[in-house]
Amino acid sequence: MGKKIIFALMTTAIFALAGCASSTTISGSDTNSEGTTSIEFFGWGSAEEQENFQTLVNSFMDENPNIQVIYNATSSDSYMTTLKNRGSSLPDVFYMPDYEFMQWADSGKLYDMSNDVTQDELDSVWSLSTDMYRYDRSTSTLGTGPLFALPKDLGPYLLVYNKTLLQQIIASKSLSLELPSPTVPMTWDAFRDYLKALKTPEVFGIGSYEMMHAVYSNNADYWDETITTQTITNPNFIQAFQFIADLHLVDGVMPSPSQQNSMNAYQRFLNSGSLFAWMGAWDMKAFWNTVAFDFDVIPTPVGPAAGAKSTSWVGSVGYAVANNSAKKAAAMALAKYLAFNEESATLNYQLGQAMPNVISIAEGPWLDQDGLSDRSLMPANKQLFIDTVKQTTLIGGKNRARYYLYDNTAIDDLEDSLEPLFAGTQTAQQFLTAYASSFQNDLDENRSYLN
Amino acid sequence: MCNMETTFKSNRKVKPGIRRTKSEQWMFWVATVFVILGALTMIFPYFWMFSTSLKTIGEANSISLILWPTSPNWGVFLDVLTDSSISFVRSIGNTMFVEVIVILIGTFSSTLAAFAFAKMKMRYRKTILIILMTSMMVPYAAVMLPQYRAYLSLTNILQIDMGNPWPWPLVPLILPGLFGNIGMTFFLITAMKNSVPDSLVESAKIDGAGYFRIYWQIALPLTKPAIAAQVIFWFVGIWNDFFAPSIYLTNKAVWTLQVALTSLNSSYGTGTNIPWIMAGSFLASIPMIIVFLVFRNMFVQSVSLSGIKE
Amino acid sequence: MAVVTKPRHSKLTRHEERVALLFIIIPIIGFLIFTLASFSYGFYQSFTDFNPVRETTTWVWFENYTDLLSDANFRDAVGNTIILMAAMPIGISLGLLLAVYLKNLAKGSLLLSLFYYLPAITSAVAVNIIWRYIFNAEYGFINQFFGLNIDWIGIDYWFIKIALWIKGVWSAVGVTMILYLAGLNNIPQEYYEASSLDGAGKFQQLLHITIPLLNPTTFYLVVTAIIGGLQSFAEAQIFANGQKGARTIVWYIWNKGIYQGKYGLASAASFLLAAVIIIVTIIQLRRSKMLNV
Repeated sequence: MGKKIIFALMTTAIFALAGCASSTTISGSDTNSEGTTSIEFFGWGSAEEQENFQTLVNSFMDENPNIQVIYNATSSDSYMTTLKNRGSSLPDVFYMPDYEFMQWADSGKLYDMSNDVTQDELDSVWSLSTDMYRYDRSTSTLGTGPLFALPKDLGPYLLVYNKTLLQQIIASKSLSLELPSPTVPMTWDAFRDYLKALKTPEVFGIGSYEMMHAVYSNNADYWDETITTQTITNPNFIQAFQFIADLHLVDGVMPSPSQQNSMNAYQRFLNSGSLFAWMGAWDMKAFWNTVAFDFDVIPTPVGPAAGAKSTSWVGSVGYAVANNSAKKAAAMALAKYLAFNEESATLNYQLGQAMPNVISIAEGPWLDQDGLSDRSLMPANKQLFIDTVKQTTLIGGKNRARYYLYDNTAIDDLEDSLEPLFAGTQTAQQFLTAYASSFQNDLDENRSYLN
Repeated sequence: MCNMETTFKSNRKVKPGIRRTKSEQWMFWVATVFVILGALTMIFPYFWMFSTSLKTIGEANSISLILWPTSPNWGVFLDVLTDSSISFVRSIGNTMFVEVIVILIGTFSSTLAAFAFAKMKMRYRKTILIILMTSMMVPYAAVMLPQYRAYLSLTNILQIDMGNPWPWPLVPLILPGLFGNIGMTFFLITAMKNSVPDSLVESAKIDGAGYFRIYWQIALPLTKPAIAAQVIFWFVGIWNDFFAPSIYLTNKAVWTLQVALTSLNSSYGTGTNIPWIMAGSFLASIPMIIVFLVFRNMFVQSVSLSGIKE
Repeated sequence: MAVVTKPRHSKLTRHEERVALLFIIIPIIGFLIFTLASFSYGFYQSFTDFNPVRETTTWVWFENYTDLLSDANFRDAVGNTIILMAAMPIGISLGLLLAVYLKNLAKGSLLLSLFYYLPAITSAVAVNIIWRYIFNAEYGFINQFFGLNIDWIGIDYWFIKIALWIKGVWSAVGVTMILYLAGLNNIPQEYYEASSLDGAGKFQQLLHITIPLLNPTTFYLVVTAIIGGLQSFAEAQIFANGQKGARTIVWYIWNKGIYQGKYGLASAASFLLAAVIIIVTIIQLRRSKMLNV
């Protein structure tokens, strides 16, 4: 009996080893005899995004036959953990998301690219996208100093609506409503009234409301400019949080926290369960291919506070090069190709991946809908993306809250604790006043890392 | 020793036709109903897993109860097995890779030590045993982080190419097992004491056999059933192990089965492809169910003996 | 008396002792590396603050421990872990009743007991995945079959725990039953015969003979359940997907240590957990006389 087991185990062992051995690829060495450099490019993404990147990488390799790129990707939630735990053996080129940028730039693990890019190259892309990847280690200040990453893209997160469904509801309820303006932001009150008028039993007005959009669009912020003192007890901030909670509690146009938990806003929007949702440019491909309805984006509603301006958060991911990489030249070539190359920018928007980061492509072919047809013409309001990153009098865009933090605990814990507010057991005033000291503690801890 | 059948045959010497009171009989039938209902509850999740794998995505997500799909998609299992973003088959290969190496070498280490503890003269035997026993007391969570950091440092020092790491991340899963399994060792100490007669060992010594030979040719064959039972148990344990693999195996090429399954769950978990997740879970569970059915006697033996150490 | 033969015995004995030591050296080395060294380093690490991005280590004395005890998330994790173990009495009682039932019924019991034991050999991942789907608020079996509208795996503090209790009992009944069956086999039939001659009914026999005589098994089951329950992770990670109500201590350790990279804090938590588990294990080992090997 025992012998049989051992025999079975050994045959399986041979089978497994043979199978596994044949699937290992030869690990890249520095340069082989033909003078080819091999670099590792590490990122994340859905299966589709990974495919898109492989296409981009392949076209880079076509243009640079002496560079071999090994592209690896994980799922987005395990990316940072994997990267952090690689210690000093980092990939040559890798994604550097905005919310971790400060930690990494501060640690000295990122290569200072200032001398490897020309001013022309930097001017060819949105200034927001390059300024944000500057960091001065001596003063722990973001936005100035050496350049530690090149922008992959800027992702304004905008308010999107299901045009087909909206028109249906207007018709079925014989409302005299127009489609929302693509250029002028609605006020909060106007937005609430709009959604209330469109209320039906099966369709929510909006799946969820982004915290930062409400805060930023009401002339408020989480902290002061030095990121030392909390400002969540500021009346504008409180007003913003109450506005979000009231969308469910008072107006009934947004699902309850429970409902949002069982079906997130994105899923609900795809299932035509809500009229409005939020989208980034990276959602374009999914919206083209997996749903049949027409959609477009409109400016974020603006709050009633004095000096308030419609502001959306703009996320970003950069391409960083490891400071201890042995193949910096090749790594920089890839990073620059992915960031500045016009063809790669064009490919990016045609694949429904991102808004082009190269200004001439964004304001030219993209706005002109070059190479796009049928569903890929949507969203029609591409100007809004551009205005959000360029900033106009009415429209603005701002980095996400976590970008400004070294240690994200402050925002993580805040988002974790919001239940009493959204369940209605506490008003925003009560909740934020009670939470303020906890938030301040987290900010103090954040500051302590930078001393 | 004790197999499934003897566990269940009552050792009553009373004649079967014992008088029961009416209320006792009634209680018996009520109990039977409950037990059968219970058994159905036990097996229902497996049925549900299977039937949901065969549904379409819409049917799996539907708000109305669908017990069996209208047109079962039998191809779903093949789809899951051949999908390259999960590499199910390769993950099974990785799992077997760990299993075979750990069990072959680990069993050797454990049995050799068990023999020494059970049948050989040893100084400070009891002290050493108590010390080894402490390793059963320390939970994995307490040693996980230091081992992880050691692994990360070694990765740096040895300059492992993490872009193409196979099989390095599997090493921290294999290495501890090579040094033996303390639970198995303790179990086998008792087993060897009971199955290997001292007289046999003594006469072998007199015949001039070396200690290793005594272990290999006498102790091992005589304790085969107990060893086999422990091996099966260990095998199932490694197959189902998830915590440590999820920490070390971040690259698709080195995933073991349970890690591949969790990845399947997180990619399609938000309602996007439930049938695939169910199919994956089903495929991952079937091998161990088969092992259990084939070796059920050994399971019962291992489990029940571990509980009644009196 | 036989002093002359002593030196030869001694030489053989010493040789045997040396070989024995050689035979056990492998597990001992394993113990030294993977238990002793690891645990000690973890203990040391709990007094430092290691930052994996900066790769610096600073000595912080007891700061990690104080931070831990004042962290509401940690207190929640401890609370959750303990509450999740509350279903243990149900699982154990059901297992006992099942075993008693099956003992009085030789036929068909093999099939039934196989059904009950299935969860024990199914991986935690698969079990949690299927139960997560069964408890889903919109398309889960429970809500559909019973016509409920409860958001089980949601924000509510209790519903998610109730769901996990149900799953927990489902998983545990089989093993409990097998252990009790083995224990029952050790109860001499004479006790039952004698008591029924004295006029004891089945129920009284259960209460006064079976249960007391099964105390050792019960004790073993309770202790094992406590040790296992304290280390629960898959429930938090896969069933609850990080939902607040099911965050356990080990989830907290994983989240702080591996995910956020706060090794010092996580090591403090693991040390506290280990201390509790070690104490419980010692109690169990002394009771079970396992030391008599």
